[in-house]
Amino acid sequence: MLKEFFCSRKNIIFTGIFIGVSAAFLQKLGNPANMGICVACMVRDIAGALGLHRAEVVQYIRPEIIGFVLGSLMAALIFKEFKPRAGSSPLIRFVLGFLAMVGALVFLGCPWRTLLRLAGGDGNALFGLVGLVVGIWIGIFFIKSGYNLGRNQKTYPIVGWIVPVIMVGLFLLLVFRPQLPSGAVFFSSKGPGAQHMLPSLSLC
Amino acid sequence: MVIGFLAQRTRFCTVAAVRDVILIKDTYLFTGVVSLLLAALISNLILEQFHPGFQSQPIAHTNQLWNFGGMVLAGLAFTLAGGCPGRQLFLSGEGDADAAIFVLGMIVGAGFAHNFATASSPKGPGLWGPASVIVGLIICFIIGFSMSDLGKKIVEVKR
Repeated sequence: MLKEFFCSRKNIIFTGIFIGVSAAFLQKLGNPANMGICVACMVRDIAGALGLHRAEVVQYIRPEIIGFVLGSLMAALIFKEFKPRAGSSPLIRFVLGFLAMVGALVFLGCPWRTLLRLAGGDGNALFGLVGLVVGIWIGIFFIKSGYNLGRNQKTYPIVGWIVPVIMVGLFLLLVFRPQLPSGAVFFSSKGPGAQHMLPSLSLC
Repeated sequence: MVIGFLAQRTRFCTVAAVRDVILIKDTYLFTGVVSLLLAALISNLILEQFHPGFQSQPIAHTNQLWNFGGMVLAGLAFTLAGGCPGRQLFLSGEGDADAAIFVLGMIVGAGFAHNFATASSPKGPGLWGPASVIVGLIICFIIGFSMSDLGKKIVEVKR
């Protein structure tokens, strides 16, 4: 019974353990404390590096984000799950992404970092976690009431390649660090944005 | 990259994990979240990175109302969009252009949050932080109502 439970779930358990352990080691090796992996914070750092905001302490092109997308791309290609699709309420999703980020940055962390902050002993994360569950619970209320983003459609392969190509572009900016008259690309010299480990390792 | 690979295969998602437990009583994804938490906790203990407490935690503040409020907004927005930020990245990688739009929304939202002082700092919530959470929640509620049967019901009642 118990063995069956673990066999059917060994992959997801392994994934969880792998993320948890690598997050802890990324912190040890130079990433900001309790922020080994935080999708919201890292996307925020990338936005800063591109000059979309000028908070000088949080500007860096985080290779982890690039790795997430490209790793997923590889897996999808190998297992024939790469399926370009689009058309399910894109503008609504843009707004939701925008708001999710605003909310996450009030707490200072995405759901992943909530867990990592807890694992680092940060009691404040408990309140964030409760908030997260309440937010999901409200979302479930809408889903039960028939909330639906609409169906997506199969589309041209090129559409699915856009984000991976953007990520490759970001990677090139990280490697070559061009300095433009505007000051871009921005890299923090102090603060969390200046805390990072070897790009090549983070990418993996 | 390894994480992206694994997560694409297993559909790892922290928000869907909680959603599935409450909505369809499925704990598959939840076991992944619990293993992440335990693995990070144990690794932190071994690496001596575990510092329990509330005060002066790294890149965190102690305003619990807005710690809570910010994540209510984030949790609701993620749920309405179908997954946590990590999951949206992995979906973008496998060709989902709608998840990609969500990611672009996050990048723009991050720029906005810092330019308009809605993002917190270790000192506490930003000047417009509380206001942005309230406005954000209202927008999410309008989206939730208008894109579900609840909106249709209101229209019918009016008729």
